[in-house]
Amino acid sequence: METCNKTEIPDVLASDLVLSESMKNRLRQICIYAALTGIDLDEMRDKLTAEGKLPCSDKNSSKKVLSEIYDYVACSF
Amino acid sequence: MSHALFENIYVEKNAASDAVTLRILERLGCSDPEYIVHYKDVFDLRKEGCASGRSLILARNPGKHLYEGAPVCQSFGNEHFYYSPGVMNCIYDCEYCFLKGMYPGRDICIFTDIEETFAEIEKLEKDFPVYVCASYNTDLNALESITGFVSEWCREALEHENISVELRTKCSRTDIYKNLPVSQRAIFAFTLSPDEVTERFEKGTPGLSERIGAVNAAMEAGFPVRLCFDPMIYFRNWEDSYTAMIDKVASSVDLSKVRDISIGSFRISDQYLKNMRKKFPESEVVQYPYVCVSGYYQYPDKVRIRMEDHIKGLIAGKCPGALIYDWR
Ligand code: SF4
Repeated sequence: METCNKTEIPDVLASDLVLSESMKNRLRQICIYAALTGIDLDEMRDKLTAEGKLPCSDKNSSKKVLSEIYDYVACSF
Repeated sequence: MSHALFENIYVEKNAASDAVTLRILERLGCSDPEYIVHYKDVFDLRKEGCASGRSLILARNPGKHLYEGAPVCQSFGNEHFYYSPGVMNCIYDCEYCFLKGMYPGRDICIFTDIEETFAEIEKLEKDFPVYVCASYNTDLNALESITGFVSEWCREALEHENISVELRTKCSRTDIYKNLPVSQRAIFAFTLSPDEVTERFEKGTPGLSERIGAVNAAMEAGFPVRLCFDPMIYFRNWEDSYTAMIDKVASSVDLSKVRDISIGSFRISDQYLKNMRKKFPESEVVQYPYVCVSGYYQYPDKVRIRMEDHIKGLIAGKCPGALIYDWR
């Protein structure tokens, strides 16, 4: 599993998304929390890739994917 | 001079002869404090993490003695709701505490001019009933052996029909209540948390059983008691932990005798959280990706509503007639 180093968005995820600065900040915070709580983001990325949602080619679809990642990390307990 | 609880004890020169200062120094057995010009010379300079211990500062309050309650605080139906900043900082170390975002370090500053606060409230109470959270920036019960402020607030409430005071605490002391002036206007509000929350996020605080002991002691002494399941913290296993906590509370406290119950999930002002995120990069509770609503970070509705509904349902199941205040 690729873990976040607490400040960076994993490269593989960043390159699959088209993100504004505020979306990047949001994703960074999600990654930090995922790393601290042991939530496996790779699993989520694989699922999104299998569903054809990743990689994203524009900001709109990235926004939707970001929201899915958020729910997966922030609302799953 | 150092002390079992404090690394150093500082006294502001202009507060040196205040009755409260002398009382506290005597209680601490301190005859040679370090004198300073202004509390900020120490309080503002000692940053979190630069020293392992904490110091005590005795000073006069140069600012306001009363503040109107913040929007995320519960007013419990009271129109004129204030809080008193009589003591700044707490001997406990809750990881999520807003004080960590508000103050630079861990030092505790006690304002010795509590009489000024009382004078201000007494002016207000001539016009309308005043409700004051006296333990807002600290845990006064935990400091009672040092300050005696809980006793003074209880006396203030007893002597003034238009003054009500809430003393919020996580302290497990059971011995103080029988010696305090009892009135229905001095409300002890006990924050109760699952043991897992206490162990992980409320460093230095007593466990649930101990806090329940204090709840029962306050009720036996005749004080109105409020149970606060607030702030609820979201973590793996939160649901089972909160269920077990309510089971334990319901089996050891006579809920029909509790004045009311307050519930609320964690929320905090955006600036405080930003400060805390810099200071505590490893804290799960601080680093949660909260949503910001009107300047306050909180859990997303999906989480918040689930948590608050869960605890409301549990309470309703154990005590159907309970008066429940929700922070929203
Ligand atoms: S007991 Fe209250 S005031 Fe003290 S550290 Fe915990 S949350 Fe903060």
